[in-house]
Amino acid sequence: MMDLEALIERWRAGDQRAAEFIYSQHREQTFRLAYGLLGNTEDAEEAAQDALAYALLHIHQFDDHRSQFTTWLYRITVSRSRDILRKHRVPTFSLNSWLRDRQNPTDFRPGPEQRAEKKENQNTVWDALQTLSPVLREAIILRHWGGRTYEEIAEITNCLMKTAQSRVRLAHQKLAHVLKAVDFQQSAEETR
Amino acid sequence: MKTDHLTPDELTGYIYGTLDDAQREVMNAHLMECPICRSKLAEQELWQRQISNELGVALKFAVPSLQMNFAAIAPRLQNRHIRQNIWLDRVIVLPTTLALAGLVFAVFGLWRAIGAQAFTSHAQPLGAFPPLACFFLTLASVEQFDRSHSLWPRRAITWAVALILWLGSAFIGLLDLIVLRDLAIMAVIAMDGRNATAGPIAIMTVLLGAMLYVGFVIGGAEYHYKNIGLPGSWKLFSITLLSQLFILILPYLI
Repeated sequence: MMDLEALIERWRAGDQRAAEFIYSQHREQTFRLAYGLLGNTEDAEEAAQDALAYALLHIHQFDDHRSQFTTWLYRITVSRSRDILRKHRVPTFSLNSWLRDRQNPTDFRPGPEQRAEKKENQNTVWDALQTLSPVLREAIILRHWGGRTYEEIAEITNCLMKTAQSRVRLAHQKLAHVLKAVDFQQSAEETR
Repeated sequence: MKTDHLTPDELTGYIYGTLDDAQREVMNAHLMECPICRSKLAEQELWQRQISNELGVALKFAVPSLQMNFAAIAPRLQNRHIRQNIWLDRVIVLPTTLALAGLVFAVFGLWRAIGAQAFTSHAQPLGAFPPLACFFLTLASVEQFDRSHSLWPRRAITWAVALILWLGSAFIGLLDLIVLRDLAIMAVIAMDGRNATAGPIAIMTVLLGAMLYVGFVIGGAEYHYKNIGLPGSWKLFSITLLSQLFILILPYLI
C-alpha cells in the first residue's frame, strides 16, 4: 500500500486515482466517527461523504507540518456533523418533500435492515451515549474510539486542551452515572 | 496527605491522566491510606473499561452502505482546479476585506479626530467613520466564530484578521476616550452649570480612561495571542467592538 504522504502529493499534482486511494483508506473510519456523533447511518454517511469530499477538494489547505491528515479529516467530520445536528434542531419545511410524502406516505416502521442494525449496535454504553450533549459525545468518542490525545481532541473540536480534558471527564461521569443506574435496575429485576 | 475523600472529578482526572504530577502525588498518598477511595477508583476504572469496550464494539459493527463510495463524490472533485486559486476562496476574501475595511475606517476616524483637534478641544463630532469601523470589524470577528484555524492558509489569515481586529479596536479605544471625556464635561456642566470644574474633570477622566485603555490593550493582546483562532478570542473581539460602538453612539442617545 502506498503511504499517505505520497498519495497526497500525487493528488495535489492532479492524479485522481490517488484521491480514490485516500478515500478508500479513510472511508470507514470517517463514517464511524460520524456515526458515533450522529447515531444513525443516513446522517453519518452524509457527514462522512461531505467531509471526505471537502478534504479532497481542499487538499491544498492541508498543512502536513502542523497536523496529521486524519486529525484534519476528523476536524472536518466533526464540523460537518455539527452542521447536520444544527440542521435537525431548526425545523424546516420543504414543499417538495411534503408533496412527495403525500403521494408516497413514508413507512416509519423500521425495516429488517434497520432492525438488524439496531440489534447489532445495541449496548448500554451506546444507548447512554445518545443522552450526552454533542460536545461531550465528540470528546469521549475521540478519546476512547479514536485513541486521540487531549491536544488532538482540542484541535479537532476547536477548543482549549483544558476544555477537552474536562469534557472527557464530564462525559465519563455522565456515562458512568447511567451505567450505574442500569446496573442497579438489572440487579433489582433479578432479585424480584 | 489529603484527608477528605476524593471527589468524582479527582477520580476521573486520575484515571484519564489529566492531573499534574503534584496532584497525582497527593492522590497516590491518599489512595495508599484510604480503602474507600481505592474501591471508588476501581469502580471508575471498571466503567472506563466498559465504556471503551462497548463503544469500540458499537462502532466496529457500524459499516457504511454501498451507496457511500468514491464515484458519488467524484463529480465534485472534477471542479477542483477552480478551488485551487486560494485567493478566490470566500473564507479568505470575506473576513480579510471586512477587517481591512474596518481598519481603514478606524484610521480615517482617528486621523479626522487628530485633524479636528478633538484631543485638545472638546465637542468636536467624530463623524461616521468610527461607528462604521466598529460595524465592519464586528462583522469580521462574528464571521470567524465557526472557522477552523489549523488549515493552511487559514492559519495565516487568522493571524492577519486577529492583528487587524486588535489594531482596529485599539484605535477605536482612543476615540472612545474622547467621547467619554466629552460626556464627563457635559455631565459636570449639566450638574453645576459652571465650566471651571469641567477642565480638571476632563483631565481626570482621560487619565483614568487611559490607564484602563492600556490595561485592555495589553491584556487583550495577551489573551488573543494565547487563544488565537479559538471561538473565545473571536467572541471577545465582538464583545469589545460592540461595547466600543455603544460608547461611540452614547452622545446621540443622551
